[in-house]
Amino acid sequence: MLKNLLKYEIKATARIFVPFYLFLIVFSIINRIFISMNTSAIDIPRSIALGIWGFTIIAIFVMTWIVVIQRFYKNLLSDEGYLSFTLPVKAHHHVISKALTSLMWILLNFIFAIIAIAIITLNSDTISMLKEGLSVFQEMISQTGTPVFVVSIQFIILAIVGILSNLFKIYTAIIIGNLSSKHKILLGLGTYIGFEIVEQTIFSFLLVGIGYFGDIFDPNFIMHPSYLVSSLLLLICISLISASIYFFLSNWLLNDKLDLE
Amino acid sequence: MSWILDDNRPIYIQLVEQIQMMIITGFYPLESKLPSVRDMASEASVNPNTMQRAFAQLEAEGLLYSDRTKGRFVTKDKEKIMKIKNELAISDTKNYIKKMKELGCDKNQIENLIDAAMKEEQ
Amino acid sequence: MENILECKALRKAFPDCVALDSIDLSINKGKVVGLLGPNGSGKSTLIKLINGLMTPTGGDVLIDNMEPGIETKRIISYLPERTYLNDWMKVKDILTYFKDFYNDFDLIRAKDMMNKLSINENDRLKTMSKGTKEKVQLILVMSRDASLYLLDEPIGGVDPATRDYILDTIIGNYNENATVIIATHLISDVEKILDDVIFINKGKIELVSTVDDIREKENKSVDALFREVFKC
Repeated sequence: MLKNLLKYEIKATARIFVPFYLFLIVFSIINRIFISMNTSAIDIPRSIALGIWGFTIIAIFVMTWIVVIQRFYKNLLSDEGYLSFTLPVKAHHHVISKALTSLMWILLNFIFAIIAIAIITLNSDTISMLKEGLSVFQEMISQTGTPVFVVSIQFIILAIVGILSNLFKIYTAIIIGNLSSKHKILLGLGTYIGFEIVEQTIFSFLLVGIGYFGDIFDPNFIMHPSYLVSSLLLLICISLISASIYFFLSNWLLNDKLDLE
Repeated sequence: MSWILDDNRPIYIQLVEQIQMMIITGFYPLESKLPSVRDMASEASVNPNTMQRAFAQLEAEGLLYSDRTKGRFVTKDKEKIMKIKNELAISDTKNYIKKMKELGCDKNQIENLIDAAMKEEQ
Repeated sequence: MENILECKALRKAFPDCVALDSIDLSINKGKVVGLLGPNGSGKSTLIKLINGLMTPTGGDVLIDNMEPGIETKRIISYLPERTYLNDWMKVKDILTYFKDFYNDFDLIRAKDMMNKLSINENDRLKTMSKGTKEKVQLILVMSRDASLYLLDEPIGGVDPATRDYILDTIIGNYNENATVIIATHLISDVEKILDDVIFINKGKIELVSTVDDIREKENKSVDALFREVFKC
């Protein structure tokens, strides 16, 4: 059943994202053509095209979070919830299907943004610059004694867990907001901000508690690459814990506190 | 064939009466097969359980019999139908006379009324 | 006879009111039951507690001896009083959606009913009138071979021809072992198709009886009795 939920979740959201991606790619190609035409005669259309291109990338990222919120609320807590919650499906499967689908789009956003930038900028100069940058990064990491691919994977895991944690946090805030009969948006927003404050507070105390900052004024300590690697692991752990807390909280609320009006 | 159900009496009793009429008038002839409970119920726009109850009563009266495999049939017994027809005729006549008496008609007047109405009919 | 539904001391309270209080109820398999009460009497709340859209404040509700959950959702077919159709699917999409999620969904029966009402499978749900949406929902709900149908105001605000079609669809599509609960305040319209009635008022059950018993004992229709009991 999770498979079915994922299928329909992707279908429902693809019709929003896919046109945006197509538009972005097409505009990237147009920009590339404009830029390659070395004439000042098209200065104005060229800058307009570049403006639209940049705006599209920003719009895609902003829109993603709107879709995250709107899909969850509309499909589960508004009229459509009457169907969603009478399907023979466990409540947490709804949450998981929505989170995984959102995660997929967010990762695709980055991929398409990179592709879009590549279409416009890629040439022999930028490629050699890129290679140079990579080798600097590799050297920095190699000082820590951890292989580069391990660090890269850790980065990716942190990104994924961090996104999931944020998604579950938003979902929990929406459900709590919905418990109010009059001020759903206000309560939802307040809850989200509340979660952030609590998270930051606990996080700070935790770091100070374990002496993480060490001698923060010593540049040799803070700039040392091993500091980066251990930070990554710690952040992954913290994100995992907060993601689990929000996930179970949203689940419990949907199972035991749900009242559709 | 239309079904007319009034509001104040149990529905199954009204169904029994109407099916009786259908049999007496020959709408469903001797030994003919009746539609299924579900079809009859949907035709009369009533709940199948209610139609089932009416059928059960008609079976108990001997007007219908059911064969487990073939379905439900009108009785072969012509006498039975005549008997029910008689009973109905008698009870309707009694009702009529009762009403006429309430209106203050005596036996003579009633007979005259019937004669006149019969003539008009012809 | 076995019960499809049992409520024991069921209670639902909201911050500002008690919607249902000490509801004890059992409903047999194979019945068409009218859940009758004026607006705001607790009919919808009771139905939402049965299908798990709300959680009880106290007491138990058991469907086929199970608490509301994934197993009971499998056997309950629910028609809400509002439209729950999304705005991006076509009729054929929602048909496959039901087929994908409900094992007991009869696609052929559903398509057949859509045809009879000349609802085009390529129509978008978004563009349909409210009445058409309601018909689509009813077809979806009645095309399942469920054990318990919960129909919340299925004939509210429809024209007489549609009302007849809806009632025919309801009695024509449930099987003998299934139970149908129809919550409504339009009693005269549904009276003919009911076995039993439950009168509910201000969150409490006022009366449980068979339709024929009411007519036999009171010599009046359920509708007439209802008007008497709930006289303002």
